[in-house]
Amino acid sequence: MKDMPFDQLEEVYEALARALDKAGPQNESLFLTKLVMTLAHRTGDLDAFSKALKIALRDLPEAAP
Amino acid sequence: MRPEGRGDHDSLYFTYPTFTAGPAAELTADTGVHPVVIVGAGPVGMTAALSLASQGVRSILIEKKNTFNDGSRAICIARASYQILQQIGAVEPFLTKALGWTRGRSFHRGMEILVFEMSHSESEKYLPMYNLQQQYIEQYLWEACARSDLIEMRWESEVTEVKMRGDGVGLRVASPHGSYGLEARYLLAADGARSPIRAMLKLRLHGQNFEGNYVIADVRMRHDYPTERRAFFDPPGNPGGTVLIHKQPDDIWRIDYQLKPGEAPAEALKEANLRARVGAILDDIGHAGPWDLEWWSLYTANTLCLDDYRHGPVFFIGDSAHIVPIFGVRGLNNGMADAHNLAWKLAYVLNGRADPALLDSYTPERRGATLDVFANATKSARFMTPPTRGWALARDAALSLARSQPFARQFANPRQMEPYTYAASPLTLYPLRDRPFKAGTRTGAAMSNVRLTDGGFLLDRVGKGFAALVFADKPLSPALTACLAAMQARDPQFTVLTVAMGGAKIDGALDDGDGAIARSCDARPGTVYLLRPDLHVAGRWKSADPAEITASFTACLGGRKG
Repeated sequence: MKDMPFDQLEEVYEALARALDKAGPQNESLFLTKLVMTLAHRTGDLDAFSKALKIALRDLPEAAP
Repeated sequence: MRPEGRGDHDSLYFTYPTFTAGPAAELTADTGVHPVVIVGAGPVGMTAALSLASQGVRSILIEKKNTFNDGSRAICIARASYQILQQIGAVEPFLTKALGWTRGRSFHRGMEILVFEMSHSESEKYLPMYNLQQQYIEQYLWEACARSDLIEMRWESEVTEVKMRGDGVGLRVASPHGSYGLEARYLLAADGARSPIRAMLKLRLHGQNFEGNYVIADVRMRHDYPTERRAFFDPPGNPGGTVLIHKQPDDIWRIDYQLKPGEAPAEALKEANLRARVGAILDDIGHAGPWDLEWWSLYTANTLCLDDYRHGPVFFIGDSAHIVPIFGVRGLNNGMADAHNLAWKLAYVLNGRADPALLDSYTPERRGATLDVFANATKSARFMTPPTRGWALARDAALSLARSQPFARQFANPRQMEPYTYAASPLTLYPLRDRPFKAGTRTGAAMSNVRLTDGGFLLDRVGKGFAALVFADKPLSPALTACLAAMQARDPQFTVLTVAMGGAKIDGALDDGDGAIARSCDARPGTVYLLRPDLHVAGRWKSADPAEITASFTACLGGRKG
């Protein structure tokens, strides 16, 4: 699969920020989980999903319980 | 439990018989060693006795109680179990009374998010699932047992001691007429989830207990809805929890609901609290009329089983061997399959056609089926009772997506299992012979039925022993003819079903009309299916290989050579 060019990724960044605000703090987690499942389904690529999962789990500022 | 003022057997729709123990022959005489003693006259124990009787084997069935189960626990009987009921001569009253179904619906917060159709076609004799109260299941099986000269029922009798002998077991049985010794070659423990036999042999179940408590309540009401399994996620009547609803005969409805996290089971089981919860759920489904409470009970989602279902001459069948969550509807069905799997093997060993080594295949085949149920039940349990915030978020996201996106809807399907395929069994020698087939029943799986031109069904033509389904467009080759004759010599119950293809005229062959049998089995002239007495496929060959067919048959006789 082809990587997204940076100018488009910037659009993703902005749209995501706006959507997070629209969902509101109470729905943040649910919204993001739905987003990930929808994207994973659309790409149809389990390997790409697993790699993305590992990347996103890195450098989280708060220690896990 | 039953409402205040009603006894354990005070049912709204079922009249419990009372059975008494007669004086056992052993109290006054030495009766020698019995071939098989079965402990527990529930659906699984009675299926075992009937299955043995259908193979000509005598058994004694010992039951502590004096009547049937005090409530209706298991209510869903799967197609494969109906096939077993047919084979043991008990299916007729089930067909008359039970409610068959093919469809389930799932709802999220009042919105329908999934309609699923269970696998069904015109070529099937039975529907994928039937609902019937456990008391009726036991009554109909008992009626069949009572008709058999080979089954002796001993009610009000309790096994108090089990002694392992070199070649059998010695039991001590307490009865109203006194205590007596009973010697058996084989003992089948069908004595339920809390199996006293298991405890006496100091054997333990291993596995997982899931979080979450569930209540099943049966109510009587006039409620107009087809026989479909309804699953409600996060309904207004049980916020945050799951509810399952099944229709049963006699206007009885099964309401299965999940308790809230932290909700104390003892409180939830109090009649007033239960009535409030059930009332709220009935409001959800639009039932405004009166309803009566019949019976209720608590369950938890456990996946526990024995490491080995066999302990020398003792075999564990049903809940004594494995405990599975009720929502997967595999408790009764897998228990009946255990009984049926073991019965033909015991019969073939006892009548000298098979080597006792055959009995070693019972655990791998049936424990394999249990582990398969566990894998699915674990997924269902985590969906209904997410153990952590992460699991809860993933579940909530799936349900939220399912409201608008078809791709997420399968998550809302409470998994109800197909019968297990014995692909990795020691009796299944040639699973790779499945490769050239594009359809038909896989090696190790329960054979699919086919509707015949005369309106009958293929599996009705199979007898009580092994069977070969042979496809041919001309008389069989001398090698295949010799192979079939040799198997018939080793199993007098062996059935050869020849299917004539392409309009060929072959003596004694089944007419395949428009080719339905051949299509369903993806057969060509020369194709052979070898069936076991439990109607699982022992092997199939696109082109008959007499040496491999004979080897498979020999494996199914525990390695005993012809």
